Amino acid sequence: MKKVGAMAAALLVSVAVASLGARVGQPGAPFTASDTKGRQHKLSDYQGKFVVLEWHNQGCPFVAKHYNSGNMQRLQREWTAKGVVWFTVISSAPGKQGYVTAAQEDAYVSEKKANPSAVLLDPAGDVGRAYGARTTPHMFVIDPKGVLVYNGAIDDKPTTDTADVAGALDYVSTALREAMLGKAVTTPATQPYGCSVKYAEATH
Amino acid sequence: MQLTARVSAAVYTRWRGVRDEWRAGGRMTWPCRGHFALSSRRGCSASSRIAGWLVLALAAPAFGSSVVPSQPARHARVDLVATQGDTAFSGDLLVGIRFRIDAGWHIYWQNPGDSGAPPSVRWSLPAGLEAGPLEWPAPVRLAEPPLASYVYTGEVVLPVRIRVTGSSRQRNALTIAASVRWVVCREVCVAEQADTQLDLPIAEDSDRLLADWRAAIDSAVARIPRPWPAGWTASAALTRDGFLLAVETGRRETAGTFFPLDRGMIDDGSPQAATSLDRGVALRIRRSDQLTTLPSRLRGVFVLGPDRAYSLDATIVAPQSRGAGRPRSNNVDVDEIKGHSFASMATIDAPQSNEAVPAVRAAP
Repeated sequence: MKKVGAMAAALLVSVAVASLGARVGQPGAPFTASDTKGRQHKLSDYQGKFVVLEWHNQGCPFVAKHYNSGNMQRLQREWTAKGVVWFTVISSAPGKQGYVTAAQEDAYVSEKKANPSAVLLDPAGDVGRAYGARTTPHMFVIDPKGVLVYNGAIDDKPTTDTADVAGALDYVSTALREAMLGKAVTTPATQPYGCSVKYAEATH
Repeated sequence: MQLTARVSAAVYTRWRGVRDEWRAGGRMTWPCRGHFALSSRRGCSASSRIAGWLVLALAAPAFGSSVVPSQPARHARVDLVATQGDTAFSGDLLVGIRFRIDAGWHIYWQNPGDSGAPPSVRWSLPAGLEAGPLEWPAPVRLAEPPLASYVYTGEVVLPVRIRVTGSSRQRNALTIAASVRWVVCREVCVAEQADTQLDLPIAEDSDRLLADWRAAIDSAVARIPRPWPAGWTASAALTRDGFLLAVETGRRETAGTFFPLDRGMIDDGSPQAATSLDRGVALRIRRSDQLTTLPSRLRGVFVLGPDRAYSLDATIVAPQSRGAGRPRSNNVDVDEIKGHSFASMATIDAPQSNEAVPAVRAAP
């Protein structure tokens, strides 16, 4: 009796594991969004390239950790040099922390010497909600076939402390390196950390 | 500019060394705590304080606000409290880090939930004293759909046991100092930092102060999760989209909230639908989308009501088929919870079938 129970349990467990983390391995949600220069970007325009999405809020101390230390700029520079399309995405609603005009964001990018391919303005939160972006930062990696291969934290040190950047496990680079070699991503999903994304109140 | 960079690097290196030492469980040994001090203190010479401020002023632009405080704390005030006002102790000294948080703002529990970060502390203690880990009173769940966090509001004390490790020497006076960092949020989040210290003994006419300290610590200790009582049971059964956490306390429970110790286990933002049982309560909990491997345990704090917080560590099991396991009164049948027979269960808050649990985010 006990044995049968254990076998049934094992069977159920394996079924359950198969359904976990379903979003990674699925196509990244299609989106169209405007950048700070007024250009439109569609995810499907970038088939054949890796795409990184980085959720951003200038006022968030967890974001400041990665920009004040230069970590985010370094990642942007390193991966865009390797052909990765890097979108910084701002889903803060007007009036909420992190909401900026295109000019304000361009000034920030220039001041911080940031290197994204473009900054997407998403004040209605459509792109953020489609991806389930929870925090700033929250990172996503989409492969050249349009499949989501990483969803989660930027690294394994969920603090606001700049000193924690050195020595942290860089999940995004790890995922990109592995995926570029055609390997399965070892850690495809983690719990993101940071400030909550300051979405507009849902209107429906 | 070059000077700034060099001084910053020196402070950075020193800070990292101290931090690593602290993480390794060692005692903090800043030569003088004044480097990060925001107020004058005993034990630092005036010249070293001035040097500290100079370093602070030079280093601030290079670090930003997250390492070196560029301004005093704004939304929470911190002090140290203790259950004893003198130095005549030979065993543990119970100390508390007290946060007084502005109305409308919150700080975070050890697992912050979807956003935020827990407070952290670096101690500076006299030789022969060693700080134990922070203890965490049960938090409250703050829902900000589609997210939720586990937080403290108003006033909270994080108790810490200070152990005497060396030989118990006669002390005339001692200073316990702490550098505390925390993230405080309302609509926006701010990283704050403060240095504070406790000088013992306190003045002889400080009965009211001591009474205030003890009341603060007592109320925190009452909210520290207690060990899971002998004779109670807890089971975490897998469901299609999460876990069914059933606890048996021997009486009908009318409320229950689970706070996971590990990040990324449950979908923090999904409501926990509670179902009252004859001898306990069951919670339906949605699992995190970030889970890629099946966890074997559900660890956390189960809160049944005011000052009724218990540490829980339940093995996650596949649902048992009807009649295969323990008597039904000891067990919640998953199929029943899935929507067939709620008749025997009193509803606490609108029960939902698994399908009715609101999606926390739009599907791609």
